[in-house]
Amino acid sequence: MNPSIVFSKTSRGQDVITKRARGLDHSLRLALILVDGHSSVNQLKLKAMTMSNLEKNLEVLALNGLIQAKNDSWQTIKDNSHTSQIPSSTPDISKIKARLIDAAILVLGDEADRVINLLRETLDSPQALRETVSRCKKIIQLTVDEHRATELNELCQNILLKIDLSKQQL
Amino acid sequence: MSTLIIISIISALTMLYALWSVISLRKNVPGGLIGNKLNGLMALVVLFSISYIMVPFLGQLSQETLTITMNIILLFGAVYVVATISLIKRIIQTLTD
Repeated sequence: MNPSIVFSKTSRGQDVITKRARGLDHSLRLALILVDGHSSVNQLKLKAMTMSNLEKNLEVLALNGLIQAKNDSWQTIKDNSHTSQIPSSTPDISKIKARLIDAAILVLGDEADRVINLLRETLDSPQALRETVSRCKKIIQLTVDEHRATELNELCQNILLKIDLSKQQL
Repeated sequence: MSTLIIISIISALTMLYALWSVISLRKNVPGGLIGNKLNGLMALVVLFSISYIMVPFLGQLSQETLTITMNIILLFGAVYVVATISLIKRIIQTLTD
């Protein structure tokens, strides 16, 4: 994850905290409480030094619409699932695309523009999205950072798995 | 103006253009496989630019120093070619993975 990203709670995130909604893992709830809208990921890490998987928790919260990055391209996803482990029963390609764009912002921060444009231009089909993710991995590997390319690819593959899981359920 | 001076000026200008190109490219490619290799290539282009600009003054050196200087430049030229080929090889490898 890009350490300079600043997260803020979405209205859904605020609701989860104020209504003490169930169904959210304890560590995810702690991470959600920590997000204040002005601390970067690095600063949050310093605040929660005992939390070993803060980055992973922020990633899960962000990709499920409970927190959002301060970035103009950030896509707020409005669905009812609380964790990424619970697949949606209807695979909405535009939601998957929005999650992929958010994943790119999470990993690349300000350097995500090229990837965001490629994802936006991609046709709304699972195959096209897979091909674009593969292209993006290669572009990042060549021009940004090899580790971040792997990180983004893994994140995107997990998101794309939702399409396969949904297909199996139907 | 002698032919040698004209060729030297054209060579130096071409190398300065190469230097400008590599600096512009470096700004667009912050890291990754290409970005990391570009640092080395940029250093070599700087060295060649200085060498090409110095060519008209090399006549003032002794024969032995001139030979050594020319051989060093040729050596770095060979390093540049190897680095470029290795970069192309890695790019093709990444694109075909």
